[in-house]
Amino acid sequence: MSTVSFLKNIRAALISIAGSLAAICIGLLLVAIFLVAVGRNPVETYIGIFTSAFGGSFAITETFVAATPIMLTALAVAIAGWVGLLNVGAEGQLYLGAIGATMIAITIPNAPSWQMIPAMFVVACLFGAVWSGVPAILRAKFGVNETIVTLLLNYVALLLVEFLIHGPWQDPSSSSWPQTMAFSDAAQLPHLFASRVHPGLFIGIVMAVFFAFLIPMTKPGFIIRVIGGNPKAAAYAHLPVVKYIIISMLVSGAIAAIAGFGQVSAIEGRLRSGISPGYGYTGFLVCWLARHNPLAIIIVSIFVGGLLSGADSLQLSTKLPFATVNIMQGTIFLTLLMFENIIQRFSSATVEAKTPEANI
Amino acid sequence: MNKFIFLAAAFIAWGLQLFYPTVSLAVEQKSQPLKIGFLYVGPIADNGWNYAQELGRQYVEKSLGNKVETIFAENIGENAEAERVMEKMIAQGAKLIFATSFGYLEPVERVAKRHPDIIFMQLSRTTDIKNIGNYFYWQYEPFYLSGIVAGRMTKSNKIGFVASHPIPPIVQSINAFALGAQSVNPKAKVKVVWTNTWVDPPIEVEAAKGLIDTGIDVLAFDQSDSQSIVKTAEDNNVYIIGCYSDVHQFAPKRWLTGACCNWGLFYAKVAQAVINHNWKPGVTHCSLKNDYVKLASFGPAVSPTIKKEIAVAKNKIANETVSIFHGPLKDREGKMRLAKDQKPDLKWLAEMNWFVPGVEGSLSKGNK
Amino acid sequence: MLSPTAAPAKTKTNNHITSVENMLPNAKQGISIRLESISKRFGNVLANDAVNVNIAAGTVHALLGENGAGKSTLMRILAGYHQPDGGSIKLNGNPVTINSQVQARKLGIGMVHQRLSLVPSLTVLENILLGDSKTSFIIDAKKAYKQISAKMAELGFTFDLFSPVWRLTSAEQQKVEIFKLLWKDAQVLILDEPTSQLSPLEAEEVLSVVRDLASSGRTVILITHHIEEILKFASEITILKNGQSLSTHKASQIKAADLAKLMIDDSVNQIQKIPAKTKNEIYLKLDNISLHQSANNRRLTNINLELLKGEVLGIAGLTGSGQDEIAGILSGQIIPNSGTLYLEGKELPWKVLQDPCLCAAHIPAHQFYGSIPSMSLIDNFLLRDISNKQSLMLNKKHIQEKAEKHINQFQIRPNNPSNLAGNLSGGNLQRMIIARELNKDANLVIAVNPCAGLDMAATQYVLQELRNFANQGKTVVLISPSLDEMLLVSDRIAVVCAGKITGVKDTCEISSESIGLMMGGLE
Repeated sequence: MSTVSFLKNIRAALISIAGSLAAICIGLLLVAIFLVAVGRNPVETYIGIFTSAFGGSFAITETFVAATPIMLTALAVAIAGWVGLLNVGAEGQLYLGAIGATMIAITIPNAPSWQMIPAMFVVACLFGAVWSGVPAILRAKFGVNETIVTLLLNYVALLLVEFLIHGPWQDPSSSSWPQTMAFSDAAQLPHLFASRVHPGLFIGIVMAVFFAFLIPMTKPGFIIRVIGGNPKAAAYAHLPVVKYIIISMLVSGAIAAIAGFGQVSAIEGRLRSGISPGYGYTGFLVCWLARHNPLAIIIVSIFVGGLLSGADSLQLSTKLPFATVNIMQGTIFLTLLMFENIIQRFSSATVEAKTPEANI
Repeated sequence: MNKFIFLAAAFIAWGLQLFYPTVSLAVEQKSQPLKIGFLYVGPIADNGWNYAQELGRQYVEKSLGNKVETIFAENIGENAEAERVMEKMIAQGAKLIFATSFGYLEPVERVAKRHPDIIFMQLSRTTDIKNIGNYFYWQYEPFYLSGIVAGRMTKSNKIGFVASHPIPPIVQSINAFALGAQSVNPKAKVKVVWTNTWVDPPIEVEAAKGLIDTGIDVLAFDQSDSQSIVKTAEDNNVYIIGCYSDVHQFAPKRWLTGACCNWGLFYAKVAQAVINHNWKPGVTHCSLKNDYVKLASFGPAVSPTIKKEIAVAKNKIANETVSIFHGPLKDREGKMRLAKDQKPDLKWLAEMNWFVPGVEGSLSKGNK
Repeated sequence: MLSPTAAPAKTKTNNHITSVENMLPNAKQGISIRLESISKRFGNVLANDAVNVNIAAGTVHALLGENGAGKSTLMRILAGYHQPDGGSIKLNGNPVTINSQVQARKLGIGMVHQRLSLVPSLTVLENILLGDSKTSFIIDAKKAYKQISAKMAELGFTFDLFSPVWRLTSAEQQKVEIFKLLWKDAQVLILDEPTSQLSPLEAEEVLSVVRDLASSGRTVILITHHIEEILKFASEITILKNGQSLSTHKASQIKAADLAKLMIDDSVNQIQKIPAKTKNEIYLKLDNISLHQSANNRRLTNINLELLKGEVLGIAGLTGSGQDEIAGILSGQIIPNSGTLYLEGKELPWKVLQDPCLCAAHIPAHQFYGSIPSMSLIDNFLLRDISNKQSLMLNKKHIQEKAEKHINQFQIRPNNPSNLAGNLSGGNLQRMIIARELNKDANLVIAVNPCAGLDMAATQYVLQELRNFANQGKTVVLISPSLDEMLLVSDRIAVVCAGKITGVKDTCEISSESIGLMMGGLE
């Protein structure tokens, strides 16, 4: 049995990988038509993007830097997704994490690093959890649609950041530029490998691996799967549905907040607007491309991080306008999502046909 | 489950393989042209700030020919993204980088510390780092001249100003603009509305319309993009003073003039200095004196008399016979800001966070 | 076995047939149907293997067979949902090709599915107009109402056109479905298990409507495995078995026992009355229970019920009389507004019934509540164990072995425990739920319509298992629309009517007739 199931899994994995690759290739082909139309060599362009994203240690670390917040927010979306909730608010939760971390960094600027970093981490997580806790409680207790609440809270979070950096937290020495004062060295996460890669990446990977183990292998994971699969059946079996929904959303918000913590503490060194060029939304997309699978999220977010970072070469080497970056990324996402459905149908159809005694 | 272990393994293997041959992307040789990177905060098609920068880059390419090679990236946020793009420019061999927006300083500082051999030019902010040069553009000078035009042209004595971020360079421009207007029309008032953004056409248009509703008949602005505001002014029969780029084509009837940048001259000079190995850090003032800022072309409504008046004023400023900000100068709250005979220095200018009398509208809280 | 892939003998020669009028000059006199050697393969499974059925115009023709005998597939081919791999369809002797549901509808063929397709929130009128090709873009409700009421009067249907569908009883909904087909001028009505969710009285109500339709010239095909119903309402019966047509019989010339023998593989005896052990110890007592959503909407009123150890208690009633609410309370899904719970003599809070360890085994009325379609059979079996002694880590090997045991015990097909529950057929899903619930370590089993969708052999097995459970000294509550099932297994039967208990009788003292009267509140 086990070897059969193993082989089956490999087969499904191969179909899925081949499908995704095919989707990317078709996306690239479509973009290639565009590139030829504007007089560029598509092969050279793509080699440029690839080198810019993965060629050499600097390129790879920059890809990881872009992938880190995407990975964390994608995980946040996945955690809510496992209990059947749609958390569109990772972006807002990321900002709240940034606010929480900043609050500690600027209120106790002289604290040593061993106090500062954990305090920033905890408060960031708490803030993020509050931001996702509101929709969670509204959902669990009053049945309010969490999709809309989380989405709208994104705008509130953004405005909150704008208020803070234009108002009470504005750095008096920055000539009215809307940003907080720079964090002390103690409040900056250490960088690794002489690059901008910071521990957030490993938090993301460890979390993903942890959930990859928790969800299929443990009792709480099973309860989460049941609630996500059929909340009515979970209530039927007297499983603690409300408790799990709220806890999942809190954890979801906290993980998205870690992304914000990483952005202010390790990348920017202060809170300013634009710390996230939509990482939360990209994370949402990545989570769906990865089908909510935590290990796939690691890989997809690194791929998407590479796409974001590698697209620089479109401007720098190929000398195409910035809009080309959007066109390329949009086309590839679109083909991937379209193929997602087609692959799923194809693989489930083949599995069905192989089942010896299908029922009619 | 298994498929992801497989995938992860494949990915790691591939990653390792990439690390082994340490790829050096660009092996530069001495004889090669100087590679210059330009970092733009918005799209070059904005007909404003970034377009002016792009014209400057094109000028550099044209005037220095095969001695230089330029690369640029548009729409780069003033955040961690800028850091990455600069690193990539350096990886491509850029030796000189122009960071053409106020908020780039923090990323520039971080990149500059890592690459002491690369020269960075940061706009409008000063720093101690040795390989960062700073340049300030005294746009307030052409704004003062524009203010004279506005002061002459206004009938209602109300002039509108759609302002972006309340930072010193912008405050300087608004104050100079008001002083220019008042120099020929003491009753002129300048009404300021902040948008808190460099580019956001809907917000800009809304702000412009709001000002027009209060009865202004001349409108100025300092947003990065021009088209929407200039067209709004034309459509509402309000005179318009441009900014950064000369876009009189959008307001054929109502265009007066504009406070423009002339980056090409300056950039070419910096590039030449780097090529000659005599570049030094320090502050460059882009002013009417060295022609790094200038006045745009005049519109049809501006009479020859006014044009003459402007030419005279311009010469006085360029020759430094007259200083726009000269003591005694009080702010609108009555506080003495510049004593009699005191000369405005860079520090004084860089800390300007108050309005001269005759300017209406708030300045953001943090500045008071 | 035939190889259907070898012969794609589609009758594509009849392209000239476009309209009903052309080929059915005497539509009013009914349509006879001739299905000749129809074959259909899904993957490796031969669902229909050269099936031959002849259906006379103006009759009720029953298709009888176990789960998976190929009844539904055959009818879905006739209704245009599937295309056959081989064989031909003749209507009134003319060969036709049915490529789509639209074409089937043009030919006057309509099908009511086991799962009704009405929109609960819309009114009956709106549901009838829905998907009606006669409806123009702008709906003229007045005109439509007039036409529809006229048609209803003509056919003898009565239901409130302006009532939302969710307010109708299951029988009324079933009738609305049938009327929808007639409104679209269907001459051939295919009904897939129309009575599986109905009480016997309701079933009778619906089936007499069906019989009247047949006598007025329409052809009705009934898919079912209720032998009694068939003998009463159908004129001819075709038995399908393993995808093949076995034989056709006149209802007047065959006995129930013979049909049962033909239908199932190993001829089994009629379900035997299982002797009850008399016990008088009370396990659970519901004392003066009331349940209401609002003051005007009373769902249960002053219910007193004692469940004895070692007994099977049947609860009979028309749909919506309160038996589902009692099941909900006993299984901990619903907490009543007032009343007291006694468990083995002790007064206890209602929460006890929600404790995952103490709670009852529960076969729910709807399979959806008791299963997670997106998860494997292993996980579905785990659902009941999860809160008991389950440790933090799941022991994959152990739970898989357990799942395999259940699958073999209840003959769930396909028998791969990693298969998703959502891929099971209705009957197999029901087996899965029963297997899990009957293996739960519980003192009380609540079985609501446990044999829905099961064939005769499986039904007998399940009823026997329920009986065995009681014989071990435990308590079973059986709620089923089939009085026969309850009479066979139960020691006592409680009858509910309009949220009240109208009587509790020992099974040996009563007949189905007297229960029927009590259910209607007449005794």
